[in-house]
Amino acid sequence: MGTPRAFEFEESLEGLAGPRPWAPSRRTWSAVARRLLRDRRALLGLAILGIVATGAIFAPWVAPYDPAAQGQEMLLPPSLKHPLGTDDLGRDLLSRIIFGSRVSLFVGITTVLLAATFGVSLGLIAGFYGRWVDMLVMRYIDLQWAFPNFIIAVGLVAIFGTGLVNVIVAITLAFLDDFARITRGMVLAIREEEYVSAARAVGASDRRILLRHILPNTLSPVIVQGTVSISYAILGEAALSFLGLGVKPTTPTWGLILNDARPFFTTAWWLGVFPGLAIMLVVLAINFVGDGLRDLMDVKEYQEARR
Amino acid sequence: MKRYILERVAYSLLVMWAVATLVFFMMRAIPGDPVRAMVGFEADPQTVAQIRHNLGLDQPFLVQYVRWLLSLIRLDLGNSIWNQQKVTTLLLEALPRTLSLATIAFSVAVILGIPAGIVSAVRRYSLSDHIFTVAAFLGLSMPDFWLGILLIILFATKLQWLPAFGYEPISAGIWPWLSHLILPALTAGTAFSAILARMTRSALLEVLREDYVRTARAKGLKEQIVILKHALRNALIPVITVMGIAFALLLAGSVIAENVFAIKGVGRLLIESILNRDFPVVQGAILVIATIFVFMNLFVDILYALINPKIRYVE
Amino acid sequence: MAEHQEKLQPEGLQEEEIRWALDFDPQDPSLGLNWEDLSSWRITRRTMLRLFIATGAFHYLSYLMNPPQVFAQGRPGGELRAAWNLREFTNLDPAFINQVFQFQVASNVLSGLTHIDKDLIPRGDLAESWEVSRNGLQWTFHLRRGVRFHNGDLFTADDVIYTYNRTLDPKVGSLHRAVLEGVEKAEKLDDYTVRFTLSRPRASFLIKVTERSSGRALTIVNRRAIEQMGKEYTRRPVGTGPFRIVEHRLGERLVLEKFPDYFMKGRPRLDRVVIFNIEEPATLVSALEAGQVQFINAIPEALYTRVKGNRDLIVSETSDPGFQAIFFNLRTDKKERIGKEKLPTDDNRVRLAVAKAMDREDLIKRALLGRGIPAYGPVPPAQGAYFVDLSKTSPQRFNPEEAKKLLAEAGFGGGFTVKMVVTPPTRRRGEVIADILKRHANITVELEVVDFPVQVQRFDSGQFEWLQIGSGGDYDPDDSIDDWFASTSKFNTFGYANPRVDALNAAQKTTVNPERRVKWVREIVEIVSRDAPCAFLFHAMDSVAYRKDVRGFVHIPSLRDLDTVTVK
Repeated sequence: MGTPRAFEFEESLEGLAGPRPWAPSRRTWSAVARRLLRDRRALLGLAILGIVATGAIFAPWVAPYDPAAQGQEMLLPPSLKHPLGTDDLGRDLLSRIIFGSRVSLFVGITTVLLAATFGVSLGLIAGFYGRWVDMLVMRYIDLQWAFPNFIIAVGLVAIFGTGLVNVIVAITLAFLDDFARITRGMVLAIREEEYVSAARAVGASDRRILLRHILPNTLSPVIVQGTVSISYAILGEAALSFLGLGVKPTTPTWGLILNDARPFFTTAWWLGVFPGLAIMLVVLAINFVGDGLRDLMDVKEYQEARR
Repeated sequence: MKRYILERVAYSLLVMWAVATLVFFMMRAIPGDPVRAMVGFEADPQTVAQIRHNLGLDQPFLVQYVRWLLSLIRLDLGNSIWNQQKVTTLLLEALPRTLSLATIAFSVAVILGIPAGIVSAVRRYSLSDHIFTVAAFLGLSMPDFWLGILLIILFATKLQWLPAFGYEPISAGIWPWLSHLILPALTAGTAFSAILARMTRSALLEVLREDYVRTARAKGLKEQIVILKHALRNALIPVITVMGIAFALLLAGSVIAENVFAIKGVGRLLIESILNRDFPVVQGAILVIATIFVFMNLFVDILYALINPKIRYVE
Repeated sequence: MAEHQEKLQPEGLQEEEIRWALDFDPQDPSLGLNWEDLSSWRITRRTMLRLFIATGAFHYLSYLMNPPQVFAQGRPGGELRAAWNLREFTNLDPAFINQVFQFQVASNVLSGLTHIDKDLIPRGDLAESWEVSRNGLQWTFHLRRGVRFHNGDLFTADDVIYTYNRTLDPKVGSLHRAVLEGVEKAEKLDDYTVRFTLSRPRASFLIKVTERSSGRALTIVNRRAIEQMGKEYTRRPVGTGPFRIVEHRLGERLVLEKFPDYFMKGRPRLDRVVIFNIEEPATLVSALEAGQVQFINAIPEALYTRVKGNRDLIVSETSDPGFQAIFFNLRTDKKERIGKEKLPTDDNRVRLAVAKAMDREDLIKRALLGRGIPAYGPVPPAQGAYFVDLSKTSPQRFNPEEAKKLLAEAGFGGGFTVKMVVTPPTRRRGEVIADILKRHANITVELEVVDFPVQVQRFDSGQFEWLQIGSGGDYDPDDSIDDWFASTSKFNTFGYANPRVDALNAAQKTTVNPERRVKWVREIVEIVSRDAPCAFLFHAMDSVAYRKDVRGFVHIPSLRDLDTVTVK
C-alpha cells in the first residue's frame, strides 16, 4: 500500500527548484506565492494577518487612545467614542487590543515557529533512527513533558528575570514536545513505506531521505498542531503575565486583557468577547494560510486543479 | 516486544529520578521560603527558625535531597509543609477526582472531535465543514474559564439542571458523580475536541487523496467502507498521538476547570503547592504526573504498533 | 418579611439608640462614664457608643455600629449550605491559624475565655466573669461549669493551663507565642478559676490574649484529642464550640454538626452546616444565585453590584477592622536595602506629597468599586472610640496643589520614578494607584508583581522601595499601632522610628484607664499620619451575602459565627 507520493513531488518541484527541494530558489518562492495567491481562503488569511500586523506595527498611530490611559468612564459598552467599549479601569478596549497584538502576535507566532522547528527536528531524528536515538530523544521529551511548564517558567524567571525572551523560551519549551511526538509518530509509519525503502535502495543519503521523502509527508499534522498551538501560546502568555512572570505586568496583551476581564465577564460582555474574537481571527487566518500551504505541497491536487 | 517494554520501564524509572531531582533543586532555586509562606507575616523569627528546624529545612540541600530519596525508596513522599498532611494522602484524595474528570473530559473530546473531523474531511468545504471549522476555532480561542463560567450561568443558575460546582465520589451514586462532572468535563474537553477535529480532518484528507483510496472508489465500493477500512486506519497515527497527549494532560489535572468548578484535583494541588512553595507536595505530585506521562507514552507507542503492524521498535 | 426587612434599615434604629446613648449630661467632660463602667472591663454597648460619640467620630457610625439585629423568628433545625471564598481550610488548630478566613470557621468550633461581640466588645465565652486587680497585673477568670468538649471531656482550668503551655512550647511552633509576652504565669486556683499574672498592665488583654478569634493564643484546645489525633487535629479540631466537625475533605468541604451539649442554651439553632471551598469568585456567586449554597462568606468586589441587585439575596456589611497603605522604605540605616542609598521618599515632604496626591475617593471608586472608607491613619472606624476622624485635619488628606508644592520644595518638582511591590491580587489596585499618582504628582510608579511567598520575604527583609500592604482583623488598637508603628513592632520592617510614638505606645498599651488610652491612641494616629511612614489608602468593607431564607446572622466584623443562624 501507499504510493511514492514524494517522488512525484520531487519530480514536479525539481524542474522548478533544482537539487535542493526544501531550499527553494527565488523562482520557486514566487511560484509558491503565485499559487498561494490563487487560493482565496489563503488570500483572506494573509489579508487578515497583514491588517493585524500593520495594526501592531503602527499601533501608536492606529489606536484611538493611549492603551494605558485610565479614566472615569469605566465599563462602558461599545459606543462611537469607544468602538469596543472601556474596561474596568476606564481604558479604551480597542486601543488595548491593538497594542496587545504586539506582544500576543509576536509571542504566538515566534514560539510556535521555534517549537515546530526544534520539535519536528527531534521527532524526525527519533523516528528515523529509532533504537537508542529514539530512546534518548523520547526520554528527554518525557522528562521535559513531566515538568510542568509552570515550574519551567517560574524557574527561568527566577534565574534570568522577567522579560519577553523568557516568556518565549518557556512557552516554546511547553510546545516543543507535542511537535516532536506528532512528527515521530508519523515518521515511524512512513519510514516503513515502500518509497522510503526504494529511496534507500537507490542509495539516497539519510539526510536526503529525511528531508525529501519523510519531512513533506509529516507536515500536514504539524501545520494543524501549529495553528492550534498559537491560540494556546497567546492564552498561555496571560497565565505568566498574571503572576508577574510575563512581559511587563502593565503591558497589555490579549491574554492578559482576557484574564483581567474575568471578574467582569457577567457584567461587561465586551471585555471578554472582543479580545477572544481577536485571537480567533488570527488563529483562523493562520489556519487558512496553513491549509493553503499544505495544499500547495500536495502536488497532485494542484495538478488536478490545473487540468 | 517484552524486552522492549522492560527496557522502556527501566528507562522510565531513570527519567522519573531525573525529573524528581530537577524539581527538587529547581523548587529550592525559586525565591520564596515555604515556612514564611505558611506562617505569613504573623510569626516571629524564632518561631520561623523553630518550624524550619522541626521540618529539617535548616539542613543543607544535599542532606535534604538524600533523605528524601531514601524515604522515596520506602514509598514515603513525606509531609506537606503547608498543611502537615501526608503527601500520599493528599494525592490519593486528588487522584480520583482528576481521574474522573479526565475520563469524562476525554470522552467529550473524542465524541465531539472525531465525528466532526470525519464529517469535515469527507464533505470538505461543505457548509458542515465550515460550521465545524468555525466552532473548532471558537473552542480554541475561548479561554477555558470563560467557557466554564458560561456553562455555570446557563446550566446551573438559569436552567438549574446541573450543579454549579463541587465533586461527589462515584460511591455516592452514578448520577451525583456524573452530574458534577459534566460541566467541568465540557470545559476541559472542548479545546481538545477542537484539536482532535482539526487533526482528524487533516489526517483523513491526506489519506483520502492517496491513490489506493481513489482506486477503491473507482472499483465502486461504498464510500463508507473505503473510509473506514482503508483510510481511517492510516489516518489514525497523528490522531492517536494527539489523543495520547490530550489524555495525559487531562490526567495531570485541568487546573482551570478544577478551579472554576471547585474540584480539588491534581492540577490544583500542584499549582497551589508551587505557589505555597510546598516542596514535598510539588515533588510528590510531579513524580505521579511523570509516571502517568511516561506510561502514557509507552501505551501510545504500543498502540502505534497495533494500528500499523509495520511499525517495529526492536529489530 | 417586609417588616423584617424594614427593621434591618440602619438609620431609624441608630438614631433611637444614639439618643439613648446620649442620655447623659453633655456638659460632663467624661460624658457620664465612671470608673465602674470602665474598670470592670465590661464595657457596654452604651459605654462604647458614648466614647465613640465623644471622640467625634459621629458620622462614621453607619460604618460601624450595626443595629442590634432583630432576630427574625426562624425555625431551628435544618442544614445550611455555605461556601467560603478560600482554597482550603489549611489549619483549624488555633496555634497555626494565620488567616481570618480560617478562623471564621474555627470560631464556630472552638471557644476562648472571651469573645468579642459585633461592636468589638469582649464578652464572656468560657469565662463566666473575671476581675482585674487595681494595678492591672492580675486577671482572675471564673470559668463556666459543666462545659463539655466535643469528645465528651469536661472543660476545667486544666484545659486553660494546657492551652497556655502549648502555645509557649517551642516544639509545637505556635504562631502566637509572642501574644503571651508579658504574661508571667498562669495558675489554676481551683478547677474553675484561673489567674494570669502580667509583668506590666495590658490594656488589650481581653481582646488580644483571651479572645476566641483574635487572640488564638488561649483559644481552648483539647489535650486528649491532640494526643490521639496528632497532625490530624489541625484538620478536625475538637473544642467546646457550638458545632463539631464531622467530616473534612481538605479543599472541598467541611461538615459541621450541631453539638448538643453546647453550653449556651438553644444554640446552635442549625442541625448541620456544610461549608464548601470555592475559590473562583464567579462560581461562588453563581452557586449562591442558583441556591446550591445559601450563604457566602465574602462578596467578590467585581461582583458586588450583581449580588446587591439580586432580590433573593441579602447583603450584610460592616467596616472591616483594618487598613491598607503604601509603605515607604525608610531603612536608611541599611545601605543595601534595595541597592539604593537614597529614595525620594526618605524626605518627609515627599512622603506627605504622595499621600496628598492620593485621591482616595477615586481610588475607592475605581479599585474597590466604591467599597471602602478613605483612611488617613491606621485605626479603623470599626474600633469605635479609638478611631479618630482625620478626614478634615490629616496632613495626608487629598490636596494635589500642596502635593506639587511639597515636591517642588523637596526638589522633585518634575516627579520621580519608583518601584512598588504588589501581588497578583493587588495588581489592579496598584495600577489605579500608579495612575492617580502620575496624574496628580507626575510620580511614575512601576509595579513589581510578586507572588505571596516572595512578598513576605521582601517585606520581611525590607527589600522594597514601596510596598502595598495592610492589616486586617484589627480588633484592638494594639493590632493597628503596637504591631506596626513602634520602632520595635513586629511588622515594622520599613524602618519607622519616632521616640514620641514609642513612648505613647508603651503608655497606651499598659494603661488601665480606657479614657487615657483613647487619648494616647488618638495622638499616635495623628503623629503617624503626619510622619507618613506610609500613605494610608482605605479601610475595607467586610461583606457577607445570603439567601432570604437565612435568618438571624449576627455580623461580627471579619467573623462568621453561625450559632444564631436559622434557615426557614
